[in-house]
Amino acid sequence: MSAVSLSDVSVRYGRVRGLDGVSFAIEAGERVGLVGESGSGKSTLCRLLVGLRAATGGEVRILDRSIPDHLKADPSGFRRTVQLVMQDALASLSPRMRIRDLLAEAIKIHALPLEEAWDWIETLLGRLGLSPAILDRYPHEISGGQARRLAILRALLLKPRILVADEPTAGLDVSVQGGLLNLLIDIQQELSLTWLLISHDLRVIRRVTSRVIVMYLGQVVEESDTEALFRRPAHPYSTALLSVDASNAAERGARPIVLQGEIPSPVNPPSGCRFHTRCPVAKAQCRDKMPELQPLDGGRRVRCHYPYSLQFDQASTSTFAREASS
Amino acid sequence: MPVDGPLLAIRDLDLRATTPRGEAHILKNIDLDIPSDGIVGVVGESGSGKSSLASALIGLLPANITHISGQILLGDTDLLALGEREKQALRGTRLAMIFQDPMTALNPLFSIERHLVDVVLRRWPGLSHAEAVKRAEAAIAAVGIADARLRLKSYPSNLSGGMRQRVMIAMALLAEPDLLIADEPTTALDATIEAQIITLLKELRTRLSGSILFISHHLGLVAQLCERICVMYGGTVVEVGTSAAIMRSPAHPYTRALLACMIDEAEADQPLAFIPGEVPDPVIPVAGCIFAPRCANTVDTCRQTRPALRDYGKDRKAACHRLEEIA
Repeated sequence: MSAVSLSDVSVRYGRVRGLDGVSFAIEAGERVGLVGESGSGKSTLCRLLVGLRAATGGEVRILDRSIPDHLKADPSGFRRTVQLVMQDALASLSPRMRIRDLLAEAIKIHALPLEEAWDWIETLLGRLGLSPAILDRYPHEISGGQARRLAILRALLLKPRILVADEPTAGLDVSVQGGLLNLLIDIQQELSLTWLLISHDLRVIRRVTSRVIVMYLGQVVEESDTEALFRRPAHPYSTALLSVDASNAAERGARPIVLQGEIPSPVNPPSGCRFHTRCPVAKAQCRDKMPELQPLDGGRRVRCHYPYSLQFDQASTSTFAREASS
Repeated sequence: MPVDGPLLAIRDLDLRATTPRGEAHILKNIDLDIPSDGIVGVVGESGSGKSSLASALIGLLPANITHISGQILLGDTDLLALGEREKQALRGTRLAMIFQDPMTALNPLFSIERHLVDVVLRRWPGLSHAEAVKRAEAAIAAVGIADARLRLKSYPSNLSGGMRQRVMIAMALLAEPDLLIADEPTTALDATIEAQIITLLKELRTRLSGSILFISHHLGLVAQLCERICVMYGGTVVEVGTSAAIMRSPAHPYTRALLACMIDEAEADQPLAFIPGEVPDPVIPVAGCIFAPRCANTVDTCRQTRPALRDYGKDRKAACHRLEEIA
């Protein structure tokens, strides 16, 4: 039984195609990464998974039951099952409530056993490096880093089985984000959480997840084992995205592949392959015919007529490729 | 580096500001040279003072500043000694700035043409309007915007984030400043668009007569673009040197740790690298080295005496008592 499964899911907002024919599955206890730029549908997908938005086509199943069925049968049970850590941590905390009351509200709504819940909060505070004194503060009295950790605490408070984290370390300094992610990995393993991690930081994706889904303009363009993707991406968009990541490029000594043009509007996506307008290796067929998401070797799936046709450019020696000795 | 000294010399710059929690020491005795031809990167995390440094250079400090001392020498002129009117005369002529968020930096009620023409006419008041439009069009084309004439008629809200940042860069180019300050110009952009803007800045670097000060939290990005790097931490400069040298063999423990956090070479099943503790609170005075509480090499001296920024090898400076011991 998959923890999360989507089959041919579409979401339309008026003329905007937020998601288009998205299918994938996440097994229980898996850590899966989701990458893509503006308009790729990452945020829509997050909202869909926690039931904040309904699919206009296809079906989303959580633990083998469709979301509408979950919401009909046991809405609060469903919310305990799937929790979302929102991107803007501070904005997700009500400014008019003390932290203690914010947490108490969740305990009350879900009728959690009081003592057990507060014990768990105390444990989480300690693990997240937060002082219990923070409970008596208002959201405006805490730092951005503390707000981040509290948002994570609040999501874990309900002991969810599935955690959807939308950029959980965005805005955190690079010197501290590693510590928070290490902790999240520990807790994920202890609770056997299923974790979908959305991040623009490819280094984080590479280290935290075992599988990656790459999205472009509302579609899945590649799904792959994480290491396989980073070693040899199959979709030209994945190759370009990985190549412009400074840390990744530095490590490989590869020259960034700079794509031409803008990310097209999801209101009027390009014909054929949606990436063909920016693809350095597009051919005539790409303009006319939309490629299907098709299986490749090693459980990989890719939506491209010519997989592996764009590779990292190793020709140049990067000026700052680090020496092996340092 | 040119023989006749730097374009801009920052000497012992000290900055304090009031906050609801007390007086914050924002910049502590900053010394930095910007050569008259080239691109210098300033790297730091939140609270490092990198943006305050930019504000001080362009003369746009917030109202809560309680103390500013030292010198910012542009040639023979000390920018800190200038009156508001004189500072204004330098902005948009000798100094220009590109901001992080191009939407709030552009006026939503003005067309792109108006933005650019205003810059041209401010710089060359004698020019005819038609000539100014011609230059604006050329500038738009130079930053890689197609259909320049058409785009001039657009308004900021018609443009994507990447386009707006290109417009900001075009405005800066038209001013032909001696120093262009770019404060996190790609942070708000998507990765593939960021790569385009970085490529554009690299190309422009060779065509620009002046210098660029590029401010970013991203060490990898700065190293790609800049010849020299200045690493800031907690309102101080901890290390300055060439990009190649700093990336190859960082001298200061903070630079080393930051590099380990950013360019991660550990095995996939190892925990992620991070620096224990938190960035320093500018309200709390520090006697010794600002990085001592988080540094793996701290000894008593580090907690008692502040290390000066000193020469370390050729063309490199770092502020650490133990550079030689820990090398």
